[in-house]
Amino acid sequence: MMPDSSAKASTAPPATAAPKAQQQKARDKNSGEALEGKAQRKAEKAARRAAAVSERGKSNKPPAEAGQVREKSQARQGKEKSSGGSITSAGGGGSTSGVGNITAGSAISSLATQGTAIHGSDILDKRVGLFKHLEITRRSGTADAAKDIHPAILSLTLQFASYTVIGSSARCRATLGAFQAVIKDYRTPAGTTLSRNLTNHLSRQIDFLKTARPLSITMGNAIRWLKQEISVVSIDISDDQARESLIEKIETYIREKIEVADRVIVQSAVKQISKGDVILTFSRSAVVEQVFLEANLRGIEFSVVVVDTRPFFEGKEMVRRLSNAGLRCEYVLISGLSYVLNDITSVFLGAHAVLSNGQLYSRVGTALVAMSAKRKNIPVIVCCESIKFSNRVQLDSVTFNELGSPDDLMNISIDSAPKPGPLKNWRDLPNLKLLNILYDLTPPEYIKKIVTEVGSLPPSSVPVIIREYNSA
Amino acid sequence: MLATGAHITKEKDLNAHIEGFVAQLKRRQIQGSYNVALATAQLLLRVVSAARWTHIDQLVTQIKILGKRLQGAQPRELACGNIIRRVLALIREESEDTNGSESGDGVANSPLITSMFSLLSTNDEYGANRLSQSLMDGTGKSIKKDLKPYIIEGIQELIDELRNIDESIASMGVEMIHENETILTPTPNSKTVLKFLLRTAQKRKFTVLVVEVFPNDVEKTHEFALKLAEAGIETTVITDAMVYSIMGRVGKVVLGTHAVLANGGLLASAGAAMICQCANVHRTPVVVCTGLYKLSPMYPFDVESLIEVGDTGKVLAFEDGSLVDKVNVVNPLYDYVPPESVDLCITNMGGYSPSFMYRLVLDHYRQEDATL
Repeated sequence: MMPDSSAKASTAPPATAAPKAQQQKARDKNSGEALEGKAQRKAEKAARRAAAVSERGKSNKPPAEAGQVREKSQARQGKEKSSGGSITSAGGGGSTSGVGNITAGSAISSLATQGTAIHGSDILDKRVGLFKHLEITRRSGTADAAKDIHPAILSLTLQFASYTVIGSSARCRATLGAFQAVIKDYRTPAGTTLSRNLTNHLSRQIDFLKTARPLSITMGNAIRWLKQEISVVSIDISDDQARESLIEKIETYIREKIEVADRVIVQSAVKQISKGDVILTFSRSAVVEQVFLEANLRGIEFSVVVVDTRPFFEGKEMVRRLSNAGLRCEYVLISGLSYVLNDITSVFLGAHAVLSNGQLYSRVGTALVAMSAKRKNIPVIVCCESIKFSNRVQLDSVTFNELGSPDDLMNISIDSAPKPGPLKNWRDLPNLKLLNILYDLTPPEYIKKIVTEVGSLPPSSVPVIIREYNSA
Repeated sequence: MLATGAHITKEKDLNAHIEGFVAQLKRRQIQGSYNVALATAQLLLRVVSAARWTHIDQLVTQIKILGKRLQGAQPRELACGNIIRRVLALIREESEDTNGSESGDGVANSPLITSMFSLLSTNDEYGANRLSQSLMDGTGKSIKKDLKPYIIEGIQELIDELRNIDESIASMGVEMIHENETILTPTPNSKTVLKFLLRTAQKRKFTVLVVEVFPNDVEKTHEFALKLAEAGIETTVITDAMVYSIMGRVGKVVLGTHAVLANGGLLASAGAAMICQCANVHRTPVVVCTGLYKLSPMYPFDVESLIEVGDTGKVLAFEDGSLVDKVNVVNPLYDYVPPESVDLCITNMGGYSPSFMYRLVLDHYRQEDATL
């Protein structure tokens, strides 16, 4: 529990002099905010625990428990600050005066309106049974953010939540960009070093990002790398130098792992495209798009069929860019897959991640495309940077996935204007559920080869790459 | 005079009715195999009632001509042609039954080619020859008068069969579905499947995953899901893309179809082919619920010509109009499902394997009527 000890250390003198503590607070904004953040988190945790307990229907316990928990947290807080004065409240939720008697309901409602993983009972009941182990994250605003969350992270969170920034590489790049801003504005609090404290500061930013959508595998790999880099920052160099070097290292990482990697993949994959090919692709992959654009630039005559699916319709953007570059394109929704598959010569797919047992974790619908192509003996080629490799293993799409908002299914429009269909009151019917999952798993036998910047390999060789290059 | 006058006006009425029906078919005012089949049967009832013939093959020719017109109005609505062929087979059967003992060699009832000569002759001649031969066996005029009520009775039975199809199919549900089963349905625009599931739900508790067939039938799909949920069935709506990910948890796939072809293959809603393939990969049984009126004697030599393509405006909206110029947008309405993908066809006459469908075609249709 690093933050605790560091915070305690910083305000160790048993706060006899209130002004002294306050002066310190004024100077060390970070630590003060850290305390506030911690208090807030404790209060939120208590509220959540109380909510979960009350849900299970234990009648008399919740208020008492909530009260006890709040007492404990308050006692700890009391030790650190002299003034028993009001600790700024948990995001507008219950007050902390005395033995907090916040009702679980008000805590939930405040949480529900502002964000974080929903534990409210109505949302829980409406999740499909098979997927009850997954949470639906939802975020509409950032009003509940702690003061130490950087504005770049706030805007990125909203971009994630609204699916404006979507796609594995795009999210990774955007996250690293935001981290560069965070590091630039970071000032180490007294009594600790950059290499120890920055990691925790970043962790808080990441926790806030997670409330919009779970982290992608690329983001996970990048963050692990960054934390590793931070921990080996030498104590001898000044903070300014350390920050600059970190920012530059991030720049290099983005360039190497994403931009250069993409170029190498493009060079390699373009060789798979020949004149007269009709290539099928699913949804939108940034790498695959680059492959097609490069092939087009080289003057190879081929055409592309883009298969799209709802609710995101990412394929439209793909087809827009390709047709603007002069490629002959066809656009069809996934229900028309069998109809178009007769003329296809090869299939190019993108990836969200490739798992250690060779499975491809990608946008939901990829498995269907790969299976249909394989049944017709059409080769399936996956283009994916090594940053997308993961140590995880998974056997089916149910044990781990991301749940999207079920209301996306209720809306039956094909453009940006929402059009509620016959299911607009689906929540009123207890037997009716809508399922919106974002990813699925494609077995390795459907994939001919995976093109990465370290070479082209069969799906079974992924763990070898992970071990050899330590990229995950 | 009055009699002939009444006859003329009756004919005019009938012609008006026929014209009206053809126009409705052309304008797609009658949609869906069931509605078209029922309307065609009722029309044929009127036609046969009003028709006059000296030889039975005159009736056959009249109906063939009418049938060609009707089929031309909505060429991909195979149910229309099916009903016409059923009625034609009925007529031939009635006439042969009456003369069967007299023609003697028993060949008349079998559509199989039994002599080298008949191999070399065309179908029309073959059929016409046989019929006029059998009628020439002395009993001439009296036969044609006797046949009319039988034919009309036959058509009436056909109409009753049409009306009771869903009932017979639905009653087979309890034999197919067990408790706590998960059913996936890729064609929720089918009334047959709806009745099948609702009836089975009275005796079994199961879950249904409804695939929304986006974009063509999505509203019907959502209403289907509403009806199931209101009847107390655990219903979950999923998109077409999610099928592979949850297929491992599905017990059976139950679908309806637009048409069944002679080889046992299906012409079903878009997306059904890939979903059935997905079920095959997971070794999940695929069950088709269809009335026999959807069984067509056509063989899918050219599958693409059978698949109708719909409104591309449902795929790309007006907002993306700039794309439509540069991009070829396709919106197929149907899918061809090969017979290997299907495990069982449940019809109003019982359950059959797709490899048996050709036999049902032989039972209900005559080879001479294959081309109208």
